[in-house]
Parts: sequence; C-alpha cells; structure tokens
Amino acid sequence: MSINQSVLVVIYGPYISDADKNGHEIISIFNDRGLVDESTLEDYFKELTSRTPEIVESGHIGYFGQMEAIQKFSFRICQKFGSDAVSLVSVEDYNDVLLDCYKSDELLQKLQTVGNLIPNPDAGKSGFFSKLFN
Amino acid sequence: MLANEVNLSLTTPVLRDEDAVFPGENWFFYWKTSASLWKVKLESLVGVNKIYVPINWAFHSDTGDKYDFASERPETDLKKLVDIARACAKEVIFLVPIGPCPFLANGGLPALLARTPMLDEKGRAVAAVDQEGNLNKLYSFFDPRVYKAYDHFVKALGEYFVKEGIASDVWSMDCCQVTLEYGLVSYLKDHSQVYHQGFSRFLESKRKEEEQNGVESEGLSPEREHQLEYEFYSMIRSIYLMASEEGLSGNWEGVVQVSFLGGGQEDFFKRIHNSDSLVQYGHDLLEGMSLNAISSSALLPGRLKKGVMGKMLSQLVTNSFIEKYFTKNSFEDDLVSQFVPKVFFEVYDLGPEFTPDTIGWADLGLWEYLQKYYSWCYSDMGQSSFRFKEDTHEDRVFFFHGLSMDQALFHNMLKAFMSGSQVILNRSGLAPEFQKKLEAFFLENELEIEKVKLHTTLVNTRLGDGRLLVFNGDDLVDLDDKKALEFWHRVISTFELGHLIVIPPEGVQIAWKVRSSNTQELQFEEVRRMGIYNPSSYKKKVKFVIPSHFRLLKVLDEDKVTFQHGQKEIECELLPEGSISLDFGVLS
Repeated sequence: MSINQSVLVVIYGPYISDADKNGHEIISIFNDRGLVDESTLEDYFKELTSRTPEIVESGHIGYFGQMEAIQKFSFRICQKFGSDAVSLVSVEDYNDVLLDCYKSDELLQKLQTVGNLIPNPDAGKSGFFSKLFN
Repeated sequence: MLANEVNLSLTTPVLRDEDAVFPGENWFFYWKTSASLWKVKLESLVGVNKIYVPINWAFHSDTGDKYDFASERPETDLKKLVDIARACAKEVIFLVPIGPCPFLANGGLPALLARTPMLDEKGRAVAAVDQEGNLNKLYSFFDPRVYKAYDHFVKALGEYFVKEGIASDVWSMDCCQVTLEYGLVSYLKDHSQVYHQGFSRFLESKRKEEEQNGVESEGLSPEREHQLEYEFYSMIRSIYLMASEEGLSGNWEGVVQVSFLGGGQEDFFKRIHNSDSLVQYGHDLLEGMSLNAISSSALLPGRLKKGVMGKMLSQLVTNSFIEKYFTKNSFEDDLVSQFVPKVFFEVYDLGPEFTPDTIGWADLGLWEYLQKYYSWCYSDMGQSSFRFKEDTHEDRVFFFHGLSMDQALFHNMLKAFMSGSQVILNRSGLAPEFQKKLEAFFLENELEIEKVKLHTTLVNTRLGDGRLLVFNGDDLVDLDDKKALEFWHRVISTFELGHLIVIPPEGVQIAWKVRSSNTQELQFEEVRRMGIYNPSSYKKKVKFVIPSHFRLLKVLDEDKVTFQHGQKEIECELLPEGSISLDFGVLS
C-alpha cells in the first residue's frame, strides 16, 4: 500500500489509567487530518459497546478488554472515514519505528508495514457519486 | 543570487537558506550557515536591533565531554558572532536550553548522550517535525549522565564567555509545547525508564527522610504521589536551571519559556501528513502569550509564515511581546512607547502539584470567557507567587484561588485591595484561618458588604478605588458552558473595564495591544490597536458597534479584507488569510 493511500493508523497499548484492570487502550488514532476527534470516538465507542468510555480525548480512547474489540472499533472508524485500510500498531512497535525514521513520509510508510494492516473493501464506495446514487 | 536560482527555489519544495538560518522572530541559527556568511546574513536583517541565538550544545560537543568554541570549526566562534552582530548594530541575546529542544536533532543532546528516548505519559516516544520535515526525536534529560555533561558544558561555555569578554545577555530557555489538556508543558517532562528510576530513588530517599524524622509512613495515595512527582520534576528542572545560572552567572538574566508552534504531540500527527492547521497555530500563539511564553515558529516551514500567520507573528510576537519581554528588566522599558499586549486580568491559578481533578479556573469556564469576550487580554500567572509592589498594575483585575492561599498571598492580596486594586477571590478551599481573618478584616475596617445571589453568593466590598469580590467556586462547577459564560459576563461587566467586546466568528482571532498616547493625542487616555486575523480557509465577517468612548484613529495593515465603517459601526469582511489592524483612541 502506498503512502498516497489513506490509512487510518491506530497505536494501542496497555490500559494504564487503572492498574487493577487488564486490557488495552487506543493511545493515538489518526489519519491525514490528524487525530480523530473526541466526539467521533465517543459516539462509535458507545455504538459498539453500549457503554461510556472510561477515558476519551482527541485521538485517545479506552477501555478495551480484548484486542478484538480494538480491531472492531478501529475498523468501524476506518469505514466512517472511507480510509483504504487501518493499520494497528503496538506502542512498542511505534516507538521502535519512530526512533528508526528521520523523515515524516518514511515514518508513515513504516507504520503501514509494521502494523497489522486490515484493508477496507468498501474504500472509495462512500464518495460523492455513491452517496448520490444510494 | 541569479534570477533563475530564485525561480528554482520558488518552484521546488526546497527550504530557503534564509528560513533555515532565520527561523522566525529574529532567531538566528548560527550552525546552519558558514561563519563567513554571518555578516552578509545579519546585514540582511534590516530594522532589527536584537537577535536571539539559541546555543546548540551538540554543535559544540560531539561526545559531551570535549568542547569546541572556535578551536576547530569557525561556526562555533560565538565571540566572532557577537562582534559581527555589533558591527551590524545588533545586540545578541543568547538562549541556553535547560531541556530538550524540538528544533534540534536528538533534542539538542550530543549524540553519545542521546541514549534514553523521552516518553510521554501514554508511553509514546516524543518527537517533533521541524521545518524541513525531519523528525527530531527527543531524549530524556532525567539521565544523570546528561545532567553531569550539561553541568560541564555550561561551565565551559561560561568560562569561554569570560575569557573572550562576551558581555551579551544569556537567558535560560525552557522549551514548551501547547497541549489541549494541560496548556503549556515543558519538553523536559518525561515518563521514560530513567525518569521512573529517578523517581523511585527520590521516593526511597523521601521515605528514609521521614523514617529519620520519626514520621510513620502511611503509604502512597494517588494525591501524594502526584505531589511528589511534581516535587521531583521541579527539583530536576531547578538543577538544570541552577547549572545554567551558575555557569553563566556573569551574563545570566533569567529564564524564558518558549512555546513552539506545531510542536505539540497533537500537532505531530497532523504534521507528519503535512496537514498544518493555521487556525490551531493562531490559537496556540495567543494562548502562549497569555501564559507569558514567547512563541517561536522555528518548526514551521517558511511557506506557512508568509500570509496571516506571518502577520500575527510579526505584529504580536516579534514587534510587541518579545520586545516587551526582553526589555522588562532594563531602563528601555520606560522610554519605549510602542504597542504592547493589552492585559485586563492577571489570573493566579493552582500549581501542577494539585491533582488534575482539583477544581481550577478552567473548570469554572473562566478561560473560555476571557478568550471569547476579552480576546485573550489576560495573563495566566499559573502558580507564580503574587507580590504587591508600588508599580503593580492597578488597572488590572486580579484573580486568586483559596486553595493556593498562604500567609504571604493573603497579606499581599489585602495590600493590593487597600491600594486600589480590584480583586476576585474564589474562596473554595480557603483554610478556616483565612476565612476568619477575612471576616475580621471586613469588621475592623468597617467595610460595607453587599451580597448578591447569582448561582453562588457574591460578597462585594469596596475601599476607595479598591474592590474585593469573594465567591465560592464550588457552586459553579455544575453550570453548563452557556451559564458559566453568562455568569462571568455579568460579574466582569460590573468592573467597568471599558473594553470593546467583539466576539469573533469561529476561526478568527482578535488581539489587542496598547500604547500610551503621544503629544498629539492628549485627549485620549491611551491608544489601543485591535488586530483581526482570519487564519481559516473561509470568508469571515466581523461586525461591531464602536463604544462612545472609542474613536477610530487609523486603519492599517489591510490584507485580503473589505473594510466599511459608519458613524457607530464597523464591518470587516476577511477573505481566507485576511487581516486588518484598527487603532482606537480611548477617552477616559
């Protein structure tokens, strides 16, 4: 996948807000417009889990008990933005990649290759013409 | 330069040499060009009498233990730089970092010392995108090896200054980012492994200290841990600050916080996609100023600083805020009658040692109100201590928080009130001792008390020109945003500040500056300049009524704007990146 394609990048890590809870949180979720805003994250989280997120701010949301929940949530956001794919990257991998890169475009390219890349088969279908004819 | 070379640089995304050497706000990156070109470069800065030169530690030391000050590379010759600047009628002000610098590779650390990557509170490695699209990774300053090397470096730098007779002022520079959640945050803040190791040692030494003093350990509550983390951070910061102050004692002037536009972690994910937000930078610039930090556009590419952003930086930062900041300790201040930022309010808030869930001014909607209705005309003093002096601005309204109250603040607050200042006190968290003292003060001075109920009980008293308004902030916590704005508007409007309130449309920023009236303007108390800036990509309209005590004197710096004014009303239509300045004479 080339960097010209729109990829939603999701950086996840262990849930650190509550030491008694094992699980994960999304540390950063962003596309070419920057971090996904708080209200979009909250709305989709509620829709998928029927509960209020324990933590939510721009680009940051949790708690997710299982990795599958993060995948499902990320894919839903990917569909909302019509991104070509979603790349799930652990915070450790993100840090390794960042420390290895010297230019922004190099970082973006590597985040797609190092992560678990899930393509969105519906990408491009939610454009202007599809909205017009559906 | 040949004409075709100019054309080439305009049509390719290559960074212009001037942008790299002069990254904005009269900063000069001496390591970015040959020393043989310094004179030509500095001569090209017409009308500039001060240049700000950050010291690049890594440029003077590869290893962290040997230093090059003109011994090998001519570009490390700071004495020559000062002499050339003087010959060009410019004064050099050196900025010595006390933590990571986002505009330098490795945050400015010599390569051999860049060992532990800095992490934010979420565990992400911290980096900044510079104006060339490079990723500058930052490394922890909590590593004891870094501190030792830093101490040696600033001592060597100080000795070099003494030996060469360099008399230029030196300021310690704390590089900061504007964050959505916490406002201005120093890049020194870190959550890396070495930070946690250091904090554990600090906790252990605290525990031993308590044991020796016979204090029984009660375990570590989240509140206590937060306080100790702040204490630890402050201690490390002060170690770096003291090292720079002592090492450069002959030239040292103070510490300055610099806020780097585009340097926030939220900005990072936009900037790696080249999606800069001018609206965000316009906001961050004004927020930085309200937090008494100098804004720097060193991370932003030159193309972003040509339009409205360039105007904001030039009019608000370079030719106003910075001038004021660096002359506040000198005699020049009294002589200069140039425009400086207008400040109506000085707000003293809770320090970072309070846990984030403690109710501060932000939770009461104060910042939102002051930004919206008073166009950033306030100074957020954070946890700074307030000391009343004879030259304290009596025209300002001072805000104090009960939780921060101690004997010294209480004394100074009452002194300010008795000397004619206007004070607003949130008595939430005020210790019973001070509650009693305040009541006794009212009784002893036979002050007339007015009480008004407006979501809370407002207790108001006056003494000459002085005014003291006391309320309980806890009563306002549950107000929705609209009601909180209404509350503040009703309260602040009783202070008769004589401001021209203009609420700009979303994305548009308004900034006010002020200067004293000159001999031809003696009918006016002062002259205020209103700058209207539209960094958004939409056409925006700003319309307002001129109050009876305001007279429009001048319309200037019109760019991409249609301006109309009648007897009482002004209307400006700003195209994307449009801006305009209006000078008003203010009658007393």
